[in-house]
Amino acid sequence: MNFLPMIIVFPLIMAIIMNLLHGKEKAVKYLTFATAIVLIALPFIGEYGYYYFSGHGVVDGWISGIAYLYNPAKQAVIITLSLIASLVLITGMGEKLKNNMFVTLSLMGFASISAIVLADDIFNLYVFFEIISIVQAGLVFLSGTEEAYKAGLRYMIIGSVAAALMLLGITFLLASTGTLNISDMKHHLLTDNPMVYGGLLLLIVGLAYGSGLPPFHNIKADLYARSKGFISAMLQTYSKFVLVGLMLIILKLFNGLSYFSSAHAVLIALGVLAMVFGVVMALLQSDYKKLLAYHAISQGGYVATGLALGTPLGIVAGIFHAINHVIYKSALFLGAYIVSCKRGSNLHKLGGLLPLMPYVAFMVLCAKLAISGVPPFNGFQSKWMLAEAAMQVNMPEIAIIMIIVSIGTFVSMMKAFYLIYLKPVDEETLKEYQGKEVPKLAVFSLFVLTALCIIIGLDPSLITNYLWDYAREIGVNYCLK
Amino acid sequence: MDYNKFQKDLEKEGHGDGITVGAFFTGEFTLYLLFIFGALIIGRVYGKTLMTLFGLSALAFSLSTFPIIFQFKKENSNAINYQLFWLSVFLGAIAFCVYLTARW
Repeated sequence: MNFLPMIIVFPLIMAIIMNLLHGKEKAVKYLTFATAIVLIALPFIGEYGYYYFSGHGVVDGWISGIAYLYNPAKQAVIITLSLIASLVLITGMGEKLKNNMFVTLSLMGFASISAIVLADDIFNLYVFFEIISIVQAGLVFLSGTEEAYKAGLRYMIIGSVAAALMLLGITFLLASTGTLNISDMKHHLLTDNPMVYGGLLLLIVGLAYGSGLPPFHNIKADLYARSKGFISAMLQTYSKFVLVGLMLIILKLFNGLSYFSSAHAVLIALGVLAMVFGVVMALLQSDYKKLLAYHAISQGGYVATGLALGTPLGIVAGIFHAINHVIYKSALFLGAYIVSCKRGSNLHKLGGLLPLMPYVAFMVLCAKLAISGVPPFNGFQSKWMLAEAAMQVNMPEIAIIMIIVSIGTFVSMMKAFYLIYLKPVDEETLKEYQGKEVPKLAVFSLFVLTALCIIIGLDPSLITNYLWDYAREIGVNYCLK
Repeated sequence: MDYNKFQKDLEKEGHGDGITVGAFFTGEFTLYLLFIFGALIIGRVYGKTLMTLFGLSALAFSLSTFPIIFQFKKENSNAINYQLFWLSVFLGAIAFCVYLTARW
């Protein structure tokens, strides 16, 4: 028996149970821990191949009902997602207030992202795309600050435009192909017509909104910056895998078709603009969480560029960078959470934390070097592959922009490291620091993530071996003249 | 580029320390480099040298209006009117690009 749907159904059931346990903090904590452990096992219980929900399958030559496609590349994404979700849930157990709401929303988010990654039917994808938008706003609201409410509401308002446009795009595609199943739809898209163009255009709008590509990068960055550090780790993981899921579907449907060339260029341009806008905005920030939030946008740009190149190497590099990015960026957000427990996140009010938490500083430094693309960390391996993919299609300009953005990333990361850990502070501030505890569960999660940055950096084939088959299936080799 | 003038502008915002000025400068240069390499690749994709030269001369002009980073920061504000303006521009621009290859 294939237990694949349990990846989506189990977290949804647990989300409902958690909701019923309102006020029973101890029960919520034990159950959260048990759920976090089970989440890690979930990606291994499904079988590879197509799965037709409720046994619908092929009816009169058409695939009907909800369909999922599971393969090693999707498994690698879901393993990473479950690992980050487990670590964030474990870190969240240290928080006292509204714990069950945080767990409920995180599990709903996990189920939605898994469904988006697995979906082989575009309407099912849209439903979970909507759920994840609401979950993200809900997780930000949990911070309880005025700015958090504003950020969440802004995200919902813009989302009401973008998600509605995406639904219209799906309707256009349905109208011109007669099916919602992605594998079926592909066979009906060989010739172009205005409806197909409209569908593609509006899918790109949904992609940009869900993953924080321009012009949605500011609202997305605001969303990460206004949440608690460990929740931001979860939010940026969601966005990165929405990007991977939607981009793979766009490539599966359109890659290699003659009329895709302009949209292809648009996708590459969006990736490059996200890279540059993200890093430039990060360089201008004086708030640590905002700085990290804009870096999440910038790294999303790398992922989008790699995937948008559309070659097998580009697709592998893009997914690999997404996986690496969620690992080191979650470590950085957890580091920011630990720092904020001492004295907020304003860089100009922090400083002198190195002697108080040298191990945390070392682990955060490793994550900062990973995001900057310094060997032997995982970020170096995927950025190297991305540059190689850009060179392979004869676009050295993109490889150069990637390197320039990495330099900007290094500058802003070192600026933040100096201002938080190395800048001298007065005695009074040191006393204030000593009076506040470091959340131990967050340090544990930070340790696991840092270890992963090093292990994947030393042996990238641990991840890339999972990705090649699917990348060869949907990728197309070409070279710019 | 006048470092002191740049620093004075930043001091007005309360961030005139060396490390922040350095970060702003890096941001400024990153934007210029995007324009340069962007102009090169667009020119190469469409095979038009004249277009690249025009792009680079536009860039040279923009260099004379240094710094652009403050304007860039303003345009990236979270005010909903800016957001909706850029959303409209985005929709128009990608519609233009996507329909560029239409054959009917």
